[in-house]
Amino acid sequence: MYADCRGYLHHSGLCWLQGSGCSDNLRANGVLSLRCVPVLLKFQHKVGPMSVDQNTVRKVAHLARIAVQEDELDHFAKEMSTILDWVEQLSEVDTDQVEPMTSAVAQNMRLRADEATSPPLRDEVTRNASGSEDGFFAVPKVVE
Amino acid sequence: MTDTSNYIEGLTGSWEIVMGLEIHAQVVSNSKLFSGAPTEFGAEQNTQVSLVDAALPGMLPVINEKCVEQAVRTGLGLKAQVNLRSVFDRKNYFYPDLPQGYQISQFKYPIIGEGIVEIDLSNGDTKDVRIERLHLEQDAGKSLHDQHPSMSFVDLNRSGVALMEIVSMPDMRSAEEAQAFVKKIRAILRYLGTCDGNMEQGSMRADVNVSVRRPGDELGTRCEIKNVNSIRFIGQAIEYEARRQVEVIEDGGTIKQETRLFDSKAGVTRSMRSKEEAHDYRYFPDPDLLPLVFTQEYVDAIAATLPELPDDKKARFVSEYGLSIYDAGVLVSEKARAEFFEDVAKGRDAKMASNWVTGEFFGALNKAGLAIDTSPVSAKQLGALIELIKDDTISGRIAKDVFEIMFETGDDPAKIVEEKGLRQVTDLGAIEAAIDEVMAANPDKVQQAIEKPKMVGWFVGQVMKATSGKANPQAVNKLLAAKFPPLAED
Amino acid sequence: MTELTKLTLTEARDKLVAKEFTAQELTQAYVSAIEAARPLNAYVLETADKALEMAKASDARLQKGEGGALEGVPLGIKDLFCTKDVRTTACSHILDGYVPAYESSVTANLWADGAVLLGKLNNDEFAMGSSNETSFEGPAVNPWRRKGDDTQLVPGGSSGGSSAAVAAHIALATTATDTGGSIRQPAAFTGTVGLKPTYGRCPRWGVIAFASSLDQPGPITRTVRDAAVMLKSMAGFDPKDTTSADVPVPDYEAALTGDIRGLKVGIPKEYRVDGMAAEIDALWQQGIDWLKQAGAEIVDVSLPHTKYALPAYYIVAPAEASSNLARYDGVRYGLRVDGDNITDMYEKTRAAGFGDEVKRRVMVGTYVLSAGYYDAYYIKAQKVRTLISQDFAKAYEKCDVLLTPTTPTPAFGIGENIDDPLSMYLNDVFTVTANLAGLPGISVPAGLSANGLPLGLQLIGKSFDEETLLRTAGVLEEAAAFTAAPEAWWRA
Repeated sequence: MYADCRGYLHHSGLCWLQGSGCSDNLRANGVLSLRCVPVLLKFQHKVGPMSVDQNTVRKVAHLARIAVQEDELDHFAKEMSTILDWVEQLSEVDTDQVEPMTSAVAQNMRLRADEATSPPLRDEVTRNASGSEDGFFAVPKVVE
Repeated sequence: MTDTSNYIEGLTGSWEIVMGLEIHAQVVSNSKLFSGAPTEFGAEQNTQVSLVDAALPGMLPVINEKCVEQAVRTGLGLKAQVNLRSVFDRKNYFYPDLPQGYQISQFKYPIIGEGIVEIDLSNGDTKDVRIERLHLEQDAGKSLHDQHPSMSFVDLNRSGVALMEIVSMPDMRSAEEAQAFVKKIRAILRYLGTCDGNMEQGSMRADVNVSVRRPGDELGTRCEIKNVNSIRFIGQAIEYEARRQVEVIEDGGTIKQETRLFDSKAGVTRSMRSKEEAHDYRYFPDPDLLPLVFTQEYVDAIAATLPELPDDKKARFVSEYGLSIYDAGVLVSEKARAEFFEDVAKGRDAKMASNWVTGEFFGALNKAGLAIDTSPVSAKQLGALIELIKDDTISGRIAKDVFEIMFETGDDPAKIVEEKGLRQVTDLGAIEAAIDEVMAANPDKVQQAIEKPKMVGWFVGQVMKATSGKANPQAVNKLLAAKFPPLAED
Repeated sequence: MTELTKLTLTEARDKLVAKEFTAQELTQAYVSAIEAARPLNAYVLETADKALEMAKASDARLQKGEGGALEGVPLGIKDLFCTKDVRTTACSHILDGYVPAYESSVTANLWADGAVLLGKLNNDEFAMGSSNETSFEGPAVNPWRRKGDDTQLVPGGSSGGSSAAVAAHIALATTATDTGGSIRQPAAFTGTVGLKPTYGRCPRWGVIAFASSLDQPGPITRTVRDAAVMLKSMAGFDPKDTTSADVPVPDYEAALTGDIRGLKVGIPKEYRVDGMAAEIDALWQQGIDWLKQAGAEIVDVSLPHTKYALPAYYIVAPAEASSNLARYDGVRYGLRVDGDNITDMYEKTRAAGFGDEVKRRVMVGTYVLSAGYYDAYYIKAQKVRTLISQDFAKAYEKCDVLLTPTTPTPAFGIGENIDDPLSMYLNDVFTVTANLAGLPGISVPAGLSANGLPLGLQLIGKSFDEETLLRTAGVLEEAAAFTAAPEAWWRA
């Protein structure tokens, strides 16, 4: 059962990284959280722990913009799996009627007056830049 | 009843275009959404960047109360649900003009919920377009790709400026409707003073979601045309994109959901390959901020300061000034126009004021490429001109000449009338003398006119000519009627 | 150790005011001690010239009787605090050579009170670690050694430089930050006092962020009184930090009355975990007895979701970190490794700039926030966090403060746990709950392990009630009469 669920997650075409736009909508319309996650939560601790494969590491590393060499994939996959398998124990906790914590401080947001208080700081903000030219930050050309 | 007039005809039958818009409107404020850097347009690169905007290590956002107020104001103007509790989320992605590596936006709990906007169409009809939501978010900086052969340059002046993203439901069915929607939103924002609506400077831009379908079918796959920055381009982009989609489908293809860019020079939309890459924005509540909570009293206090909005103003112009719905619509389409009209109409003949404002005045502005705030003729001056007509100082025809001079010189109409000696001749003796002179010089015409009363018109023209148009036309007619009795019976 | 560096902060402060010695003399003593203690690798940047200059200015103010609360007191600052014109890298390669143009609010408060900057202290890279071994600058070393064994031990983490410096008397006190135990665990490992204030008590502006909803600056000191004095200066409302609390800062030193009669001390049964060393358990019982003898009432309480705190933390903290660390992209500051295009530049820069632990956490954080997993991981963890907070709220209906061990073990050897992330994470098992609930906690040195290493007891207080926390800690400190000190092997 569990393996099937994983398969759905990765091959349905609706899951994360499976195409631009879809991931944006997933949480909004709950496609995955309604159809898949309960299945996932229901079966994972019965059938077996979740693990991260090399392909997932590759995708996550790219999302996080961290170059990972092919020969590091296995190492990362194992480490991430260890951590993620361990945190899976949270699924034992019944949180159906619980609101997620939004802040460690019990207060509402303070608002600031609409005043332009920041002086021009071009030198201060660019002085640590590896690439800057003519007051701009400079980066390798971005192709639109 | 289904309106089929907007359908586009393909080789295999009719197609309906379906559109939803996302409008990004820059909030009018002195400082940025989460920092104290100024927001003025056109400053030198990276001079309006605070430590927070450059995302230096350890920097934290603090929200600007004005931006919150402006969003609430706008929500009220869109007759929308104002949410007393909303949450700021981080939208995570990497781009050189996004210093934090995330944009602070509102994903799950926006400040404004569903609302409605009535759009005005050229045939005089109106249509309701539903608003899905409005949320506050940070603008990104600007990347310049054409300054250097191998580098892109980044200017963070805009980074962190407050934007309102206004999202419509997919309720529009033609390019005209989409354009009318943008115009209406822009008018409302300008009335409210929450966005200057200046599309050339980028303070307002639209993402257009376009799909096509067989009438009555489910929604088709949509393409998003990003960052269209003029109302004309919105029309062109939609026309092109809808045609393209129909052609793809009719050729047996399928539409791929993607982001496209409108190339205004070529008049086509193109797939943005750089955005093809899978996105996963990993939204989560920004832990540097707290939920934004305010009271109904706060909302009510803002509501109490709301100005009259275009739809209400239009209704009032019709009922109070007796204007046609069309003229009222033209006048309220921009706040400045409506204000100008009311200044002209105040205490004067409102219909005449409306005719002058929508006719000569807008015509002249258009021709000169000027706007109301740069107009050489003020409302007070145009009002004075109308008064000169009403008290018979000048005729309507002369008034047009006077207006032309006013527009060229910026002078007051009374001064022009005096200097140019354009005062209308109402002295019956003088007019009669002119008539007698013309009659004496043209005995044959007199004879003809006695036989053919329509010839009297010729005398009117001659008398006006002889008086350089200054003779009061009513007086001329009246006196001529006395000279040619049959005319009176006519 | 000279006579000057033996003094506690409060002693030195009083003697400076009494003009028994000058701030320059005191600072010079510390500067010399720092030079002699380089094998500890506690400081990643020594600022002797600046320190002496600041001390000179302090002397002038002391001379005029205009000294602040910390006038002339030489401090070490964790490298997570941005210091104006003084290199600050969070001990990460990716912030190579970063020199802030601004001063963190906490350090600005300290300088305003007259304190002197001795230098920047080692820490785990971006505060991610429990042993200071993830620092790009190499591990800081614990001044303590096991009896008859010269194995180099970790000083705890992430504030390992801060704890080592206080224990080795090469700073009068230090600043630190605590996200999951990073002040209290190093304090326990080095026989020092570590205070994590209530979330919102000390401003985070200018502190390099690890996990925004958990990070909280606080002091590491030699005594509870020193901690009270340091907190008073570090704390305060900061309009630049939305999460900073606009509440008055009490005089914490005045709260140290030594009187806890009638105070209700809760003992959470869930902290008695499997495999906990018998000596830790015995120390805990000792602590209970001490407080009872001082007139406190001992109450058994239950914090049922304690076992889920650590896994919840290892979802929430990496998730926030993955986003907080996105700004290190090579564009505006720090390391840049050139690439064929912008994405290549990002990926190479971040691969070279981040160490293994940071990469691991950024990737786990990225994973748990990604579409399809967000609800199952992040939302779930935040719900568990709510339950943990509610546990505390219920417990505090029955008691005023909680007593627990600080760590399940004493300090371990450098390299012993580095390849096993999970056992490293377990270091925080007793401390992380306070971070998740935003509560204040303090570790007080209470005894020695069988092999001669310091052990700490932790008190967890009610929100913004650092006064009760410090008062109780003071009583514990007095009862424990912890006077052991490491041998100064590093001076060899």
